[in-house]
Amino acid sequence: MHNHHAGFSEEHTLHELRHYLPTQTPIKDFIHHNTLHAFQHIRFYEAIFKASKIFGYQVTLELSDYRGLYQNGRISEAILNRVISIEKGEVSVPTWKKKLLHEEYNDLNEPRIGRIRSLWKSVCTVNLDDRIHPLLFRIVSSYLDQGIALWHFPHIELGFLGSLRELEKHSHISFFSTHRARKILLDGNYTITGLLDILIGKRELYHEYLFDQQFGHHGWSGMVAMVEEQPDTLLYRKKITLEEFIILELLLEIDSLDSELGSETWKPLAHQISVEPTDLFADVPVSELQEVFIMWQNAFEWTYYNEVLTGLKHLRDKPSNQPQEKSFQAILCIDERECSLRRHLEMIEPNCETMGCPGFFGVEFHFLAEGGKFYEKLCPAPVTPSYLIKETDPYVQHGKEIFYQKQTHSFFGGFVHSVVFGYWAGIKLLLNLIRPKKSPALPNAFSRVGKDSVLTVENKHPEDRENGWQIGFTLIEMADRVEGLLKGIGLVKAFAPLVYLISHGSSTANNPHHGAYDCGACSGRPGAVNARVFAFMANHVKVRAILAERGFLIPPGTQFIGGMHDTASDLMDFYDLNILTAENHNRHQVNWDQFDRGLDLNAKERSRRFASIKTDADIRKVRRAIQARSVSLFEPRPEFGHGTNAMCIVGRRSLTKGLFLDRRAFMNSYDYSIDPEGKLLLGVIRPLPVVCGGINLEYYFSRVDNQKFGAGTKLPHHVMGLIGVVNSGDGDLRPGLPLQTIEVHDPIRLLMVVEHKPEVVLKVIQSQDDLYEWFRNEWVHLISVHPETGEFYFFRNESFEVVETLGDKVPGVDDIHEFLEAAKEMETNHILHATKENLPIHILNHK
Amino acid sequence: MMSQLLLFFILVPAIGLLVSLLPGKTSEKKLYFASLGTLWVYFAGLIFTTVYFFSTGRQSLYTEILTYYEKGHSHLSFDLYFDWLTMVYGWVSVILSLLVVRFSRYYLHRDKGYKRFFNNILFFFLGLNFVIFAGNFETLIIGWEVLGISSFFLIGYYRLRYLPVKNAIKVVSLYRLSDITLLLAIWLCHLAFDRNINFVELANTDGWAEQMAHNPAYFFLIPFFFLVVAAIKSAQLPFSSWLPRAMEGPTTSTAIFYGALSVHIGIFLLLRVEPLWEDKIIFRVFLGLLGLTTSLVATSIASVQSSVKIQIGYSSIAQIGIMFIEVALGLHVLAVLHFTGNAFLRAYQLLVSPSVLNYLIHEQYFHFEAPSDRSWFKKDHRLRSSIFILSVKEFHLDKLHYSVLWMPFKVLGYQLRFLSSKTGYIITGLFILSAIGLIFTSLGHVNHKIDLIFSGLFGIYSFLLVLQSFTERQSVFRAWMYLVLAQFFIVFAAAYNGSIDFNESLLYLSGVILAGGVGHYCLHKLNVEEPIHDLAGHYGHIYEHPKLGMGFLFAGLAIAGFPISPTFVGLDIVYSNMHKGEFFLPIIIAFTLIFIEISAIRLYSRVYLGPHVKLYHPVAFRSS
Repeated sequence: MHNHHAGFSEEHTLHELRHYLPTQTPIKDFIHHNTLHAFQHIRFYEAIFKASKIFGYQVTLELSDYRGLYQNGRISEAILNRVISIEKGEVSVPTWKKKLLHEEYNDLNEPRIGRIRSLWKSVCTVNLDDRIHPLLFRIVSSYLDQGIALWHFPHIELGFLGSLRELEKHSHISFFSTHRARKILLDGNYTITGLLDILIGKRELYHEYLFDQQFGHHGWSGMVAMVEEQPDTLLYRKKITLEEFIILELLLEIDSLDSELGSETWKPLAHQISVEPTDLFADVPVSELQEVFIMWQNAFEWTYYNEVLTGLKHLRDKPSNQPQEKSFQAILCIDERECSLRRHLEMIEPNCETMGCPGFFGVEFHFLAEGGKFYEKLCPAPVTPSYLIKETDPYVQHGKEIFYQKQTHSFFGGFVHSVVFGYWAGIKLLLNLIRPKKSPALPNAFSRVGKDSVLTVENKHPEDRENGWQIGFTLIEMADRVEGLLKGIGLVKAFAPLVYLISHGSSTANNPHHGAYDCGACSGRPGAVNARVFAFMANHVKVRAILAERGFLIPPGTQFIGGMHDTASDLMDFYDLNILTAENHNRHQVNWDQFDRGLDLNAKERSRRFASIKTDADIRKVRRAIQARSVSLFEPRPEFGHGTNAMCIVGRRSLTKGLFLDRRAFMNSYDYSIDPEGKLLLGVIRPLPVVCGGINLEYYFSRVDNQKFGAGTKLPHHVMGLIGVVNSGDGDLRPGLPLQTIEVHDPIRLLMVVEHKPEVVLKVIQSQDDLYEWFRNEWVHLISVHPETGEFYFFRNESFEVVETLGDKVPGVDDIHEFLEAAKEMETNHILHATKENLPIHILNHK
Repeated sequence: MMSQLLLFFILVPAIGLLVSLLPGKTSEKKLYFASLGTLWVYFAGLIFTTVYFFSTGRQSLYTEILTYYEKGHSHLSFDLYFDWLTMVYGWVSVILSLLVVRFSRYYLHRDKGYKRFFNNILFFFLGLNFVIFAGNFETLIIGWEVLGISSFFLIGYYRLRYLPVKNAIKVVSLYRLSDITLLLAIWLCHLAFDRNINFVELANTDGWAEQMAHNPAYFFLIPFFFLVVAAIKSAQLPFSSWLPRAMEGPTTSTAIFYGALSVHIGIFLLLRVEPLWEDKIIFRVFLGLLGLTTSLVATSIASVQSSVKIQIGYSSIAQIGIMFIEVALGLHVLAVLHFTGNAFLRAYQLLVSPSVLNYLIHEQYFHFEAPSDRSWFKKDHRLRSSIFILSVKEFHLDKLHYSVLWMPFKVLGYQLRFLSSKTGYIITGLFILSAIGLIFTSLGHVNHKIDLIFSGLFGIYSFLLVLQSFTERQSVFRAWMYLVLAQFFIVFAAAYNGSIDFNESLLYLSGVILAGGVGHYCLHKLNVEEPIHDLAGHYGHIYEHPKLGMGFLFAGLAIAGFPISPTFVGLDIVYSNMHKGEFFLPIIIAFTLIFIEISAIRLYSRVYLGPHVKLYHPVAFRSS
């Protein structure tokens, strides 16, 4: 289907390029997604090996790494045997095992991309990349710049090429060094095909050539394509299209060749050397090495999955007691970073109940902060809300920081700043090293919404609209959302007097990727507003009345409170406490103390991975150290984001309560018993592959190839135009996750565990094609836990089959403090060492 | 007595560097404390010395630690010196280094190059102290070269990516130019004053200008050469574009070196040699104009930058331009105040540069107003459009270096490719034979006309050989051999010229032979396992063969006469024995020396650095 027809269609090629280029938007909103989303329509292994052959990506661990993991016990022998026998049959186990362990393979990859373009160097000895990239990146980066440069790019209303043309027209100096390319630009008479006729001269090659060219700098090309598709992703709007970007690059190529080889004397490439097109996207034949990788990867994944299932089985056989009278309920985000906080809360206050749901709490809207000039979307990225929530007074004055001001770069301003304030910079640096603390210069998740501000949650009049959106929700809309969320997570009875909705955000210093650490369900932003909005809705008397009419009763004494957990500093805050009744106010005081103790423990648990903190120190000290860490300029790992995520549990808390999952599980509450036919299940499952699967795969790919999929190490990053990072001033944008975020991560696919009958689950996932694709093509693994028999059913080849656990030993934890203190930090961040930092599933034996 | 103790400021970083080589790669704590300890001890010493300095009425300290060569007018020694300028640079250096080392402790945590990083910081610090405590030019140039090489390491810190390696070579090539210009400046001083002068003489004697005035060549060339040296290191025009390209390492090293210390060292040099130019109005005007132009150009480049770090880099250059003006006006105190303030400001700005994203986005969120570009680009402002484009293109500076400085030599090298043919080998053979033959027949006959002609020929030939190496695209062994031969021919040339005697030649060549052997071994051993087919691209073999890489690196540095090899002393000797009125040979040798180092480093990077050719593990894209 790709380019089999002779000739060349610009539209088709542009479409294909957009499909395969990275789809990361400007970095202020970091939305996790499957890095290889373009291949999601085919099966996982086929897809990754194909992508690897085309683009040269590393898509699994190295062969020697798998062998090392086997040696150090992270891949179990029993599991490996089982994996081989499933793939190759029982009898072939010894032969294949020998191959897996000892056979020498030629594992050198020779990608298809770049073949034609490299001919310029070998045939004409012109290194186009070296000549063009720096200038091309500079121009596009200056054009898209959001506010670093002091002089803005002129004429932007004319679009990318339009502004360049206008600039060229009025300038004595040209971006080009020869005449022809400049003239073509000024005449405005250009098409991609026309320019390629000059450069290549054989239409069958154009498609492949453009892939070579654009994948020579996939970061910028991807960014341009994304800005074209979603212009509102930039605060300072710029018009640009991928087509224009390609045209500029082609013009620069012509210019370079003219200047290197003599003006207009060179012939098109295909006239200089005979070159045939190849199909970049042709199928990749299955090799034995691929099979070896598949079995290793499966064995690596299943060694962990088996541990999880064994743990679940253990709980099933010894169910824990559920509290009768609940002191409070806390609904937290499904985020795996909240997994530990929930565990600690339950340990400190056995009578509380914790639940999980995507952190936008089922309320989707745009948000406009008081004094803000832009709308922010607060819901999962694929959702397009038609509501607007506005914040009104009190206005919080935001501080300024002189050293970020542009005047420091001007002629006299620079002089004054360096002579007068230079020493102050030195002192500030010293202070941050000795005693890091918050400053206006550092991101603060809590600053996104004023603590006591008023939100326009309720729509008073249908005419109240702004920007095409309805301001606030009507009573019915509110009731629908409250009912939808609470039913979805199974909270329909036994309401505690206080129900907390704890959103999360992350305050991290000196971290351009901070958006990646915020709530994924809120489009990479802190979710405090969502928590407040939901609490407002659920507390609304009229909403409750509507719900009561529907037979959904929330006791009048029950109050909902929104809050936010800062996952980097382990601080928590609550909103709108003034609505609390006196009784609940007292209860809240008690609960607040429990939360605080939970956060202490959470900080302690996280500290075991941080070199700068001694986990066995006094727990309050550990907590303060965690807090300081989040505002330390010198700390590239204020937290690890979603690193280590490995599973997603959809079911009642009883399925996992009492297990130590090491912050590796997304947990969505769901009660099959109130939804026997799975009517609510679709709504619950639907966002999970996109959100959790997307996060998991982004981590997977950034982990296995941090250079090509990931952003490389953070340490040398330059921030470009406020839209992305580069590793080198003249280099390409680096999408993906930085090394410091993924080094704790074990690259395994997400295991989704759903507590419902396999036939119900199957029906639900098959009901929507794009949802089904995730499971059918094995980008996410799925297990159904039969709620009645407790059996595990694994989804493979479009059906569920029973899977048995191997071994039944689950280690126990008697004292969580000792347990955490005994855990060792990794020796190096090589996978063989790093993986050992991830602790096995444990049973918590505390009373 | 007290002045003898100045050695402390060299020994402490040197010992610290040696100690920091001991711990294993992952012993972060030890590496950190070795560095921190070194700096604290140094700091204590500096406080003590400063107190002493003030208590003795700011009397400068000077000592000659060691004389390593003495013959006729040539007196080569290792001297140290301490005055107010040393003090200020010492304080700023140690405070910034302390801050940055502390900052880097966790910043670099788990980085594969943790050890390399701290070794390099100390190596750099050592080089810096050689410069600021130097009591004479011979000592200063040691530091100057160390700064260059440590910069190569720090810029090419991420040695498995293409751009850092490419930029490291770019920068180090300019640095090399600066080293050799310094060498020539020193040689001119030697010619002008008939002796090796030290800084205490320089500062306390008047009338340097009159001494030079008898020869207008010296009168203009000496200050001019020093200015070139300073302008390169301080990224003034036309050399400015190296600075943004040096910002490739971890943010902390970028901050301390290219934001703060390294880039201000040109000011130091200008102030140090001030007696040589202070009476020359023309020079002062030129200096001031250079600073002013640089400042204006750098400000406009900074104004269009969309990269935070590069913007800071150009802003810093602009401020240094203003410092040049201040120095030209004789406003020393202001210049020094400006230097310290700028160093702290830019280091801080670089360190917090990742935060800019959040800060500015947040600010925009509440205060954004789409700029009306009318204000800047009214209807027909041709000049403004031109400046805008020029600034985006960095005033063509990067291209200028290539096309003016390096391209002609590349072209020349290609023109002379026939030297790499059979004919070439025969010519080389004949030359060597004649050299050896002549050694036996006419040793000691100095100033014979025929000797001088041969001397010149050998000099030219050494340069041609090194260009062959510089432009070699096929065989790495051949390229390496040319470097070794080039050094031999330098010695032949010097011997015929009478600048070096037999024993000194042996000393010189011992370094060359050893380096040549080690280098060849490291290439050969690698070639057996991983054939090196050509030199067209990078191989990145350091990924699998770090030891061979390190061996070759040392060999390369040694062959270039870096102060780890006796060749360095040999070179000093050659230059201080050059005859009066002899200009040709010193300059041709200088050119040879520039290209020997660049070529050696090029070979090292092509073979060992850059993206690894074997794609079985994550390898970075070429564009990153």
